[in-house]
Amino acid sequence: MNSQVALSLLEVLQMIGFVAFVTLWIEAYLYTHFHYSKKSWFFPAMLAAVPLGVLLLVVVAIGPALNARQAVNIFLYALLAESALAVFFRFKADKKLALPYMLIMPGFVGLALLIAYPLVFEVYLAFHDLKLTTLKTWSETGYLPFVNFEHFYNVFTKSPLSEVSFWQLLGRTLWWTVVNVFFHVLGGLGLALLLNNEIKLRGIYRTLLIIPWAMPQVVAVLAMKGEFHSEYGFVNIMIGRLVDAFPFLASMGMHKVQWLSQHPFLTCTIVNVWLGIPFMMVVILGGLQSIPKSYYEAASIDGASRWQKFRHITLPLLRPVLAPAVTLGTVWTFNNINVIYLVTGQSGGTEDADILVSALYKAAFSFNRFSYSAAFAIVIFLLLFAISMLWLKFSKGTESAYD
Amino acid sequence: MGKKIILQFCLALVAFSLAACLRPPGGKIDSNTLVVWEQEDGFIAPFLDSIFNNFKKLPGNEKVRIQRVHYHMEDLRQQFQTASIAGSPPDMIITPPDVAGVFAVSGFILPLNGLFDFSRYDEQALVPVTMDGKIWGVPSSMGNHLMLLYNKRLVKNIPQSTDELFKSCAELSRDKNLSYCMAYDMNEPFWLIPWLTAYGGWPLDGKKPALNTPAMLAAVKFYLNLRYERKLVPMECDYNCMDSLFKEEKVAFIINGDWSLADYKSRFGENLGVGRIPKLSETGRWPSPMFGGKDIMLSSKLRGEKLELAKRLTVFFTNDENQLRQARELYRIPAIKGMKNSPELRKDPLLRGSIEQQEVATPMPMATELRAFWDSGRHYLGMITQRKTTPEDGLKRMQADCEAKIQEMMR
Repeated sequence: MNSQVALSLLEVLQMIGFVAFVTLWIEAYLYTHFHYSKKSWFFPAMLAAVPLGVLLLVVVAIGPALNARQAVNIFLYALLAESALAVFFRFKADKKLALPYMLIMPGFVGLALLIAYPLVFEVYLAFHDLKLTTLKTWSETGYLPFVNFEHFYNVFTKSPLSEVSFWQLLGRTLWWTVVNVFFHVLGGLGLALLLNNEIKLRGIYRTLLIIPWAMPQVVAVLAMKGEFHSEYGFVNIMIGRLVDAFPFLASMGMHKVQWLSQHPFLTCTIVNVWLGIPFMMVVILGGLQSIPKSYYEAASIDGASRWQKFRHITLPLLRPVLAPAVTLGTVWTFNNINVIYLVTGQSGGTEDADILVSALYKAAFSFNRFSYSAAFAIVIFLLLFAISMLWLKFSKGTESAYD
Repeated sequence: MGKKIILQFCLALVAFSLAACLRPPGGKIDSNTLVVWEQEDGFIAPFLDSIFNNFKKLPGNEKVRIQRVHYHMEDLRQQFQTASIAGSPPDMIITPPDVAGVFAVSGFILPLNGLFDFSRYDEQALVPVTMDGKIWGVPSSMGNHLMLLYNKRLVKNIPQSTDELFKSCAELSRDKNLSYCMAYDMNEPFWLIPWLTAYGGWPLDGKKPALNTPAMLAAVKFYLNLRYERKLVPMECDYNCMDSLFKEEKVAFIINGDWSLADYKSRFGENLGVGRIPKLSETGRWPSPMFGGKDIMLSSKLRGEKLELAKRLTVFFTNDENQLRQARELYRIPAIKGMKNSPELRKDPLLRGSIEQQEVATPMPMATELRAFWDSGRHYLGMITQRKTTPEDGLKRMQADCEAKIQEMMR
């Protein structure tokens, strides 16, 4: 085996080992605190052992860089935290809940580290000023100038790119989300209704229709980008042949289009609609197949038309499936940087295809406006959170079909 | 039974915890391992690996490991910044010098004065990595400059002026039925520089952008003329598009950099011609593309033994033998003083053409402000060439945006 592969495997093993090590200590901590909190030795033993253990771990992790003052601070903070926790376990914690807590706690700590820490750091960045000229001082001294709400103000008043404003980006993002999700649902519903019939080769059709969703998005998007090239793309070649075959189409205004440079937003939308339909189709098909046939049979006996069956049986019973799928689709489409970035790339003159998240990405990583981007990201998060909450409230998506 | 399972689970946890403490034999993996990020094309990888392998075969280097990681140009810049902010950057990067200004200001790379003997290197090769008297990169090649490449199966001689180029293109259209004559990335400001210089302009005046100027206006109008009036270059043609068109012999000429020579040589063999971008007949001036090269930069996190190891690898990478090998295999101009004049290199028609173009090229200044020009220039040049705005309006907005970006960067 290649030595580099062996060393990589060892690194993976070390990572697993590290996670196991942390898990072991979390479980040991909870076990002792749940089971021995009533013992007379609990307080003195824990108040001595836990802060010392934390200090030891920090010393091993940081090494000689840790000075005496920092060590004392760490010990005191750990002592304070352990005092509060020990009191909680002694007087409030229910021993019967020990197992559930022990089972969920490693996952909870992992999530807290992966989500809470970056979020807190992002808030910190948004109120400070990290950019090219302050990076060096920050990495050497840890100091960043505090700028209050300046970056939040800039988000609404300064373009994250060259000229496009936050409000233009917001309007375009909402339009992008609505159009895409509408066509995802419409296309997905249409195809799912077709596939829900007893037709020959249904499995093959289903497989073919899922391909755009199943293949890596980068490959799918770049392939589609090629098809929209003005000279050599499939779309314009077909337009050219149609116009050659039916010259009256030219008189009606049909001609080859520079899709990528003149209509980048429309091109991105078409590509994303194509990419998103299969997911919605699979979800809706699952929902359709869970509707009992007896409902339709009863409706047929009552003389209901196909439309009436669809309106009064299919749609209401699809709601529990559709509402979360639309919520997910909305969030994914709102945050879909891949299609925009891969279709327009770094190319010039295509600022009118950017949506909030693609502008955010470029502001952070192309223009190095780190703190501005942190504030921008928080604003986008709050917007998306509000939109999702409103949608769930008005669509009653969390209610069951029979409520 | 339940207790037994819990015991086994605990033993497994302990075993994994012990695994976390494992270190490879020797226990000094960090000081013997160098992580190198590069942004070369795929066909360059064997050359890089062979240099690294030869380095590892030197006495005393038996335990040295070199991890080469490839990124695309923009990805390397972004990833290196992100990794540096996170505190775990690679030890070395091999990249064109246009990122040096940003990395130096951010404190991501080491100033190298006193660490290397820079008197070995061509002074021109050091210009793109020198700022305020400090040198931030070791040049591994000199160039990265644009030149005119042509397919000898389609055209016999390289045009000496734009008038000759247009004449040649008319003949190609008539005799060979080519839809387009020439391809190059018109949206990328790097490709505008040769024509801008032919009109007597330059994107920076000291540290200020000089974009709303008569020279710039003339250069972008020349661009529009090539695309819309003469129809010599295809619409919507980015780098991949122009590369494909040339390789598929759908165009006779391409303006591309020295990084592409080895690839085209392997495809066209003796039918590949290289020379200077033709003189602009309108002004009588020769275009002067920007040149830099490839440079090795060291992370500012490097210390002690590892820094010494990185220094040794850098010196090995740029020694005379490897520089000559690089010139022979990749057609890159050596960065060592005087080496480009060796008769062996001058005899090769590709290298000779590349060197002739480089000698009239202008070194890229190591200015952080240039970053703002690339970003603003790309956007507004795209707008102008797509006729979303007039050249006059586009340049006015480009100037204002570039100034705003510099102010934002430096405030």
